[in-house]
Amino acid sequence: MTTLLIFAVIVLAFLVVMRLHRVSDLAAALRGEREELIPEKDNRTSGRLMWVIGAIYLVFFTWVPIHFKSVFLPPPASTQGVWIDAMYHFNWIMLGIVFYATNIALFYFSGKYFHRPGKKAFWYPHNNRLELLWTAIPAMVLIVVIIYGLSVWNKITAAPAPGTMAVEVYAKQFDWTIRYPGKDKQLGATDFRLINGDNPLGIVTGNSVKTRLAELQADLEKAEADLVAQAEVQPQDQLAKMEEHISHIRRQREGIMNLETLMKEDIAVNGGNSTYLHGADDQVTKEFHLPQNVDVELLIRSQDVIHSAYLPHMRAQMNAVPGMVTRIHLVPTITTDSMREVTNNPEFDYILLCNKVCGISHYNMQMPLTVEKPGAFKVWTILLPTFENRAKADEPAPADTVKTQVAAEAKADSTTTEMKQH
Amino acid sequence: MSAVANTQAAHSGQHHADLHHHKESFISKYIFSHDHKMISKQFLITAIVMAWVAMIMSVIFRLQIAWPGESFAFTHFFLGEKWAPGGVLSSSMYLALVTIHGTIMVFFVLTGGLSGTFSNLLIPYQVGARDMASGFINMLSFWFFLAASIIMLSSLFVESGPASGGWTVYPPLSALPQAIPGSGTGMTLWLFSMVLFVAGSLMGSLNYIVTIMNLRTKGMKMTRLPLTIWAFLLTAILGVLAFPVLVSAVALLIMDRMMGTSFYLSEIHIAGEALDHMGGSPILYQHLFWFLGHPEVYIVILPAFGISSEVISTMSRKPIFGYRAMIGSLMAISFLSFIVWAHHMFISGMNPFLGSVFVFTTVLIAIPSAVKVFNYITTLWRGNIIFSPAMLFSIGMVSTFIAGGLTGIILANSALDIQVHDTYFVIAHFHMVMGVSAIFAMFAGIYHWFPKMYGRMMSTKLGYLHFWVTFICAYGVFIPMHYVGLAGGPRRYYNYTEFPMFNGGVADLNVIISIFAIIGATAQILFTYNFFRSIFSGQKAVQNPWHANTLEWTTPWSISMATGLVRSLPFTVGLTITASPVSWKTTCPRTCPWKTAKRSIKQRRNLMGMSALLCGHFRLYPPMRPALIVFMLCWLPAKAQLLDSLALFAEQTPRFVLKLDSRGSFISNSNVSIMGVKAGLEYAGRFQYGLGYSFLWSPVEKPRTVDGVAAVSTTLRLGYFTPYVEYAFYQRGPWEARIPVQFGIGSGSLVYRDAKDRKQRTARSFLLLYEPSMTIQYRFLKYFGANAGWGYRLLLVRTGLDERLSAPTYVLGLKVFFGDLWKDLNK
Ligand code: HEM
Ligand SMILES: [Cu+2]
Ligand SMILES: [Cu+2]
Repeated sequence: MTTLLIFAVIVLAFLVVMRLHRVSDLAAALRGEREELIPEKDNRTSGRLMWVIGAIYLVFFTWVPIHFKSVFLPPPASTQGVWIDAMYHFNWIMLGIVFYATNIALFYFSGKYFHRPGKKAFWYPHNNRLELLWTAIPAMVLIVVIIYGLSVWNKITAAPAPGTMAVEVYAKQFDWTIRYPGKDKQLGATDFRLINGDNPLGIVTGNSVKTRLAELQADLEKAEADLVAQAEVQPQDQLAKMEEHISHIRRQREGIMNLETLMKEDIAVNGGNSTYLHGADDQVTKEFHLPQNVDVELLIRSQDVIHSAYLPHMRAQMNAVPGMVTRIHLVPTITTDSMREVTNNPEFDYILLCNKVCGISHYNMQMPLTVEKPGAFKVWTILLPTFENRAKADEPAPADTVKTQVAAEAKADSTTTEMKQH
Repeated sequence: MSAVANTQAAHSGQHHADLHHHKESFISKYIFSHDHKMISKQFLITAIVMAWVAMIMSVIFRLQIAWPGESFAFTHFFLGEKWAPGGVLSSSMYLALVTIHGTIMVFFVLTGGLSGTFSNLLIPYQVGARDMASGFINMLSFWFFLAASIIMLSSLFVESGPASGGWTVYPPLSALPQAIPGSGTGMTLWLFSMVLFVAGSLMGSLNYIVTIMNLRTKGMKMTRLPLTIWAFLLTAILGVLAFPVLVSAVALLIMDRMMGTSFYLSEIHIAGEALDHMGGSPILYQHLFWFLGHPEVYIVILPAFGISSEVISTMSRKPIFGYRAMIGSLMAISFLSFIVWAHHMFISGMNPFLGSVFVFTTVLIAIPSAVKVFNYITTLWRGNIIFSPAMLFSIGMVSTFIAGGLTGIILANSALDIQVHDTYFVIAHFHMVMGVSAIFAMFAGIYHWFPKMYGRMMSTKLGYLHFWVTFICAYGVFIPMHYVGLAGGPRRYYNYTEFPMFNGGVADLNVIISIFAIIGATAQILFTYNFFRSIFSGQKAVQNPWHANTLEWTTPWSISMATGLVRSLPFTVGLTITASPVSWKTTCPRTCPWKTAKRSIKQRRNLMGMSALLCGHFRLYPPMRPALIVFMLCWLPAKAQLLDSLALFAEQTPRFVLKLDSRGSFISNSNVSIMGVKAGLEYAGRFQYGLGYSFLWSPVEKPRTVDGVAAVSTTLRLGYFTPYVEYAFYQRGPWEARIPVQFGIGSGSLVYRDAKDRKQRTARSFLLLYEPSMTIQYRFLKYFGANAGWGYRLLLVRTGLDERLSAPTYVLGLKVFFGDLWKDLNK
């Protein structure tokens, strides 16, 4: 309501200005004046205003970041974040100098050289040496900027060492799903046609293929029965749609059957190394944890439209593109707990958010990220149900068996984890 | 000299206006006008209306961002209960508003409005031409623009809402109505509107180019053109090269939406269903879009540069500092703008190495930009500055351009872009550098040339107030916005309430931004009022109020030379463009209108004659050529997809292919055929490259004078090696669409038989040809393929062969897949 009022007041103010202007015009016309286009007075005022407003502008520009320091992100929580922030500092300093210098010159000259009667402008059409100078200097500075920038970019996008832990980040309208590779440390193959309520990522295993085929078979039978039943009652175009639907299901089924053949061949050739055998122990979850100081590669996929996995605190971002796997390679360096202390905010959480418009709930497609000590991370992952056992995991497991299992595995794995630590 | 010219022109202008007044109906004068001045006013007023629509949208969504979930009568008034239940903007309408706001501002206000208004107004005046090369095309360009505007606005009223995937309309979001309601009918209208818009803008651009190149008055050398004209020329060239690519991107998107193709779609599971689309790439769309999109931002800013250069030099009573450097930097910017597009895609998932290349080219573009800024400042230095409102806006433009240009360097560094891509930092960058700068230049142009358009002055007092309020608000809005972006605040978010990290300072910043935005928007009432009031009751202007020395001020405002004279028939439209180089050279038309009139009548007869002639040779109808070139350019970037798939193809084992290649074509009006053989390697059935040899098969004979002997029958010989690449960008069942592109490197000669019947050569020349084409192939009976297609052969070097070698080509052929045959025979 108050805003509406403010708004009304502003509009009214403008209306008043216009009326006044009209009156002064009429008055001038009555007096029979025909004033000069730009009177001396106006030139002087405008010149002074150039100085005043120019100065206010530069002050405002300096004031905002100082006053709103609180909006800046906390220190970078990944190795690449440290590089990027250092690079920001370098660039801000370079650009800051240019910014103040050019703006001061611009406003100072415009304010200083306003028209005065009898004054003549200085005839100065060009000066090749000067122009060469201010082409060459920016060129040299920018070459430095490019070289520095590309060296950091190359470091960030360098391929990870073989054996780096892979974690899948899967986007769909409007949430994220995470997949950990499980015991075999390898993510299994996926296919978008296998996606159903039970298999949100379309992981390929012998069972998931079989269930999906059965499901499609049932769909098909139902659709065909529908068509027969409705053949008399429905109009022609409706029937055509139903037929199209049937052939759509057939195509899906065909695709999956091809996949099945492929899978069998691959397993026959590669045996235990077949990517189709890695899916069963993958762990699909709605929580996102990463170990501290461990190299991880996030493999990013999307189910429907383009999303973007943005981790502002890690200074990391990559689009999730349907039909493609994209990657972020990073090393988280600060645990959530330490960051809570640093920011003095017990509620603090790292966040994974979607940064590419993806539909009406785009603004709330987020997931907190917990960075923890590798040991704690290990414990947490082991407790996750695997893809193949997810149904069983719903039943409460006897507490002590889990505990012993966790302890055993944590011990077995601690050696390997340490080796990978930085 | 100018005084004499003025009085003379004033007389004839007066005379002229009288002469034609009674002949012109209201409709031909104000509506279907061919007169560049009227068309420029039509563009301007349409743009002002569109700008208001887009600005009100921005106020509505700024209200929502600053005070999320609060009810506003303002919002409710414009959107009604459906889109703003209880006065609270709905989330789907929020996205629709930002999308349409962006589209209207970028295309309709800053492209159509800015270039349309000032190119039309100033080009004929400042180069000293009677009017545009074709008044009729000019009129059409406005009508296409208007139709596009109306369709764009009408999309606001469709049931499922207007397009809402952002002004860049990335698929799959924009391709699938399941993904967002705005991708239904609203999106269809958006695409349709853009096609019309591009058509209109191409007509405008071709016209501007032809006029500048051919209708300059005597003595108006390219090196004497005002910087405005240079800027408009380069803008038009950018438009002609870039816009067709948008059309092709849009065409492919339309096919994906309506015909089930998969250019941009692959492996999608949405709304509980797996789609059939396979094999496309959403990144292809981004390449195509930004191949237009980046030049597009320069299409916006170059005219702004032109206008501010002119205003700054006039009002500081100095020549612009470094005229040639200014032209050079305009050219450098135009050129570079075509090789930086992928800086919008650093984190799209494209190859990081490609990213590095684009970092390099993008940062380079800051050099000519810096040169321009330094030159502006030096022009002001020791000037004698008269602060008209136009001058204030021009200085403001330089200032905002500095701020935006510098953040551009941050974004150009891919490593830094990781952090701020798609955040409010980018929004702040492009609003400073493009939005505010270009709008300021547009205001400057309006205040400056208003006396030329309407013969009256706008009020300077209101102008001052308008400038200072707008200037302060522009900074008040966009400086804080940078920090929202640096805080990680994503763009296109309906609200931030779901994120604790954005609830403190960021929320405060958002309130500040919105308050400034509302004041700034309201201040535009001052301008609008000033503009419309001054049309009718502004102070009467003298002929050259700003004491400028460009040509437009040497005639009184009312002079109306062209109206009523140029009435070309529709079918001569295309012709005027191509025919103009020969026949439309005019000399100083302003001072001798009777001569122009006579010439124009003579010319009409010429054009009729020529068109009759051409109908006889329909195949070579000249306007086809620019059209073809433009169309071919559409297909070139389709190859951008290659960049992303090459690596995959290289993993496959290639197959050897051997081809007999016969193409039909034209050489200087006669139909010829060219034979060739080609050998190459094919990867994955999609990508092929190799080498061939082609030669002219059919005889091309012509009597020529050889060694002083007239009418010796000579024959043309052509033979050239053809390195080629070929890419099948679409495969479905037996159908396949391919883009073969080949280069020709070889030689041509003219041969005759001398008195002793020995073969002799008279001319011999090196040949370099570029031959893009597109073919559709249908495969049948397993071993055969019928294919047909067309393309264009461009001669890239000058030859002394006295034959026109650049011409359309067509391919009709039968392919035999020997490879498969061989395999099956050996089974
Ligand atoms: C100094 C020269 C410039 C450089 C180095 C530069 C660089 C960039 C970069 C790298 C981006 C992509 C940022 C991202 O999406 O993450 C960008 C965005 C943009 N730039 Fe610039 N730019 C420059 C000048 C301009 C100019 C002169 C204009 C317009 C007249 C402009 C208009 C835009 C627009 C509209 C976008 C955002 C498009 C979108 O995502 O909606 N830029 N710029
Ligand atoms: Cu999203
Ligand atoms: Cu760009």
